[in-house]
Amino acid sequence: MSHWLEPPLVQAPSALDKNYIVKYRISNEFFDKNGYINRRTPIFQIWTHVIGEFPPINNISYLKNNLPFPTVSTLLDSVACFRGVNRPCDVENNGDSILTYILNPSVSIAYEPSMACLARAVRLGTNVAATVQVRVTDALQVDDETVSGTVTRIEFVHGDAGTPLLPENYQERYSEHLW
Amino acid sequence: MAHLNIDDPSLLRGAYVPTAVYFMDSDCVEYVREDSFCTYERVDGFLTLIRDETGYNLIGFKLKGFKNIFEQHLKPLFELHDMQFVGLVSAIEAVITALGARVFASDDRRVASAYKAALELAVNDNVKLRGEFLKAA
Repeated sequence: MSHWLEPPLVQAPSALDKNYIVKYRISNEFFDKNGYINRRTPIFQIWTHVIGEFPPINNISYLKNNLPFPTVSTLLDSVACFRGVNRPCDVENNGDSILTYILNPSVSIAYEPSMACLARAVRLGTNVAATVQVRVTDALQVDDETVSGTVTRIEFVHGDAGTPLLPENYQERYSEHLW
Repeated sequence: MAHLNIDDPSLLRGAYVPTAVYFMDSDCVEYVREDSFCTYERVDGFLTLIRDETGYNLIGFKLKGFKNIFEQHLKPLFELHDMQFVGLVSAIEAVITALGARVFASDDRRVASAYKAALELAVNDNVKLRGEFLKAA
């Protein structure tokens, strides 16, 4: 069983060709710093929606066996991919090295300790989408050539009310709608 | 930042203490009051408000492109405090100053009220970014 603070590599459709599969690592920094301050919810969400497994924590079977089940997905389930964030990021004026994958889970997960489990399911409203940011390898100079980038964070945002559900004002948020 | 012993079982039991954190990989500072489900509401290229599960209550904020703001406006303050911390009130105020009248223009009240809300939260919670989370910025 994996350790909840040691995420595996994940697969995703390539930004340039949705039919081509690439590998990303999960940001160690994101897990380390959130773990350090005891903020578990975003870590649990990365496990559930990006890695495609329930977080490997005690009694997680409670969530697997009780409705509503959190939506288990990977980036292969993304409904859209955007490039650039139209704002400065690190040394880039428009964050051109940032890819944003969009997922449409219906149930998420959050930290909430109880007698049964350390997490609970969160039923999402009909107009909430998950955005997963990835920085491509060149920007972070990751050594492993087989890894194309790093998943840096997951965020839930209001949607544009369409199908598939994309982030509201996505035309202004991102530089390019890749697919 | 102190080394994280991931085998420490208290990591899954310890209480969350609201803390501002700089994430180098995504070049942003994030502060939330509670470890719970939240939604992110983009205001502009610098500020994102963070709301609770209901979508109404403000529980935090995210400051994006922080490296640039730190270099241009906050480094002297950080050094003034012996590189121990920098107050995020100063960060938000620096951006408001840089954006100038645009933030409080009458035709964009949403942006103005968002900055005001983030500023109030930073003041009320006395949000500081500690040096150990800032060294990479």
